[in-house]
Amino acid sequence: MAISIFSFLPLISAIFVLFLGIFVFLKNKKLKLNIIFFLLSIAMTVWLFSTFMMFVSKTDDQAIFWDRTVYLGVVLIPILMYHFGLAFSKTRNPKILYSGYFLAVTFLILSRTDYFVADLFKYQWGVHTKAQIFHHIFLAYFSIYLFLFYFNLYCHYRKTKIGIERNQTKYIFIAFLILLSGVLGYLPAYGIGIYPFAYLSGLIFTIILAYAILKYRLMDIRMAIKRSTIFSGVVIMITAAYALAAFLLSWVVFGGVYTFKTQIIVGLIVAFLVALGFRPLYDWLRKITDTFLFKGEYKPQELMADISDILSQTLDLDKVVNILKEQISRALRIDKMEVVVLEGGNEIASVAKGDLAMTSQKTLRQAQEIKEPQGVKALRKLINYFKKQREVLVLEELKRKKAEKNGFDKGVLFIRDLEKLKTALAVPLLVKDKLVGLFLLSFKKSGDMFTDEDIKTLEAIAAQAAIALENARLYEEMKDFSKTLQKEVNRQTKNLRDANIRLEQLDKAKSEFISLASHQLRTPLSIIKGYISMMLEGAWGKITGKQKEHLERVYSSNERLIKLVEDLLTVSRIEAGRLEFDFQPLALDELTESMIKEFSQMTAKKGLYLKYIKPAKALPKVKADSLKIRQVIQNLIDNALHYTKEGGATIRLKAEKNNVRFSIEDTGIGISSEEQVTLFEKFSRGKEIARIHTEGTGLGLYLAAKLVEAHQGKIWVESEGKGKGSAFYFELPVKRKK
Amino acid sequence: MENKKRKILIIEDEKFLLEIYQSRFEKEGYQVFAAINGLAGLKLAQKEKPDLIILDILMPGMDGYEVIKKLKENNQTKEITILVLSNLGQREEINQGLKLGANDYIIKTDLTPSELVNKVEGMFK
Repeated sequence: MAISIFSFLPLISAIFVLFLGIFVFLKNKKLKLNIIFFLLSIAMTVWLFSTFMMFVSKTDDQAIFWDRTVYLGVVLIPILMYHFGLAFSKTRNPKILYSGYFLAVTFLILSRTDYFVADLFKYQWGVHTKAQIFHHIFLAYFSIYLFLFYFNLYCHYRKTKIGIERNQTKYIFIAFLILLSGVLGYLPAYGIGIYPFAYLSGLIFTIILAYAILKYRLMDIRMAIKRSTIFSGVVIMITAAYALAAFLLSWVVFGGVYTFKTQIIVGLIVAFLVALGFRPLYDWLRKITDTFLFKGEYKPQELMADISDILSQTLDLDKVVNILKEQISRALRIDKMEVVVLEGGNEIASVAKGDLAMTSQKTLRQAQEIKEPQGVKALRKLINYFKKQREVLVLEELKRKKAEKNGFDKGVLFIRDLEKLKTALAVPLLVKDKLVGLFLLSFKKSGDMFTDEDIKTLEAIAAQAAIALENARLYEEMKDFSKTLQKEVNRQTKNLRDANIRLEQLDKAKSEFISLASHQLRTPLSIIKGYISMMLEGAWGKITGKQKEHLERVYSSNERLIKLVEDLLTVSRIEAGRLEFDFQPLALDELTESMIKEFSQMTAKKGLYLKYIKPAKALPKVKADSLKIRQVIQNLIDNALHYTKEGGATIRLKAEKNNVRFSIEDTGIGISSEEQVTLFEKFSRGKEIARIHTEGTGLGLYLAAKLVEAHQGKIWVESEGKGKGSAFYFELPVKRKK
Repeated sequence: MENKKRKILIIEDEKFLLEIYQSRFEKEGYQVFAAINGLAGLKLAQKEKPDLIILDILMPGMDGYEVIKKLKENNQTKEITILVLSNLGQREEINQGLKLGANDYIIKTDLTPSELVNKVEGMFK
């Protein structure tokens, strides 16, 4: 009964199992599955520890005591495994379960009797008790419940579609299958002296389950994988390797003869090998774990830095959304990811707008991908939830919580919504406590659970993304706004342009109307003129003085009408831009003289003078359209005579530098300085003038000014005020500028 | 008085005006022919070969410009003096008439019938 290194294998296994059990229990004391696992680990610890104690027992009595103690653990293992399997697969089978417990307790009691085990087998590696009658029956119970356990697990595996649960089931299956090799431990009880390597299975079992916990959050344990975990792995591996090497060495070299001396030598050699091999082993293990445990892992810091880099470079909402989707999906290896952008504001209406309409076209399309009404409804429910709750929703966790009926978590109510949206993980995007959007992540491609680190990373990214999205959204809103504004401006401009075109058409129509009307008016006017003039000439018999006077009034009124029509026609032409000019050299003095003659009859009748003072020296000819200038002079003379009661008007012509100036100075009513300003505007008449005469059209001076302007000339008025007469001037250039 | 033997053709669609002008020129001893449209005017011109034609522009059917063209195209009438007497008095309208071969262009409302007679007499000098 020598103590060898192998004797410690069960002890190491026991420590590991116990450690795992306590760990699982502490992580979630309320979860049924964890409690059962904890009990199971205790049973296994009892088994392994007692085995160890049995190995190191100094006496046979001690060995028997510890061997019996082994059964205290072992009898409970099948039923606890079965129970664990039921809890895990969320199935119920109380009859078999309670029968199992009953049997276990029965065997627990029986194991203390000699009908279970008695006597000893002595082997090279130690001693073992002999199996008795109840031990055989016990083996039947053992086999049945183990079979039931594996069968149940297998069925669950077949049924489960969700990747994570499948993986969890798979690993539990494997771990417990390895544990099955522990049955080899029964052989020594039947006289077969096989060294109980099976104790090692406890160790492997622990490692596999630990792996499943790490990777698939078995028993709802979210744990960050740390390098220290790898180190622990290395230590375990070295221990195992050390044990194995020591065993092989002593077996091969020393033929299994254990003496203190050989053990020292073996120990030294293995220690040397381990010392040599530590570094390479550590590196190798790290590589293995990296590829195995951290397979497809990303570096959170790098991911965050990358995303923040890219996000800081764009304000394009679609781009921001795409970057987030692309980067996160790739790093976390998820099937699909949605980024939901809310339009802002807290009202339900805006939420509806947020998830139904979305802000941009692309996000709209994303909304449509989950567009079935139920999806939209689910999304809206989630959005409302996240307005009050800022915690990430993890579908698997919620499912577990629901299954365990473990306290109340509001999130549980959203399991169906998450499933509808094919979302395994929902992360709220918050800017200063305001919900601006959501990340909806599907399951990982591998079916792996999201690790604690994943979630922490996502939360960190979410904080950044929220700001980027909000900025992009605001920018988009601004862009949309300016687009709308531009559209509105364009619309209004077009309206104005249309209105302008309509006005122009209207104006043209007006001009054409005036033009036509004027032509039509001329015919009756010329008929009146013809008849009256002939009557006045006595063509149809002599007329009396009174008749003559009245006929003359008719005639002069008709003349005014004729002139008015002509002015109107010219004005309408000017305004329509259709007045044509024929600029020819014109002797202004000749024209003036002929005009004065035309007015001789009128001045005589009114008793006014119209003087023409010839220029001192010969005048140069001006470039002008004689018809138009005729109209100008006619208007000015007419105007002067019209507003003069006594005295008359004096016309002068004068050669200026490059110009010829025409002036007509009257002794009439004069014009105030204010009125001088607007005198040349359309339908403007001096106030004073308006009181005295009402028959003026106000067109004459306007027309004169327009015509002079068209000649590149100047027209103006000078008057010292009311009652002091006025002087009108215009100048025409000798040469026209191009 | 041999002046007064001269033949004048007045082409004018407005009957009152036609009547006034006709009576006024006849009073002066002219032999006056009157036509109320372009076509009738052309026929008379060809038949009577007047010394001068007083021609309106705006008329139903053939307008005055067309009448000038036709008169000028015909060897028998192309030498006849043409005085346009129209309501149209814009520069381009006047220029068009003169360009086609009218000897003068007068706006109706500018002259009384007597003044028109003076004008015509002036043109014969």
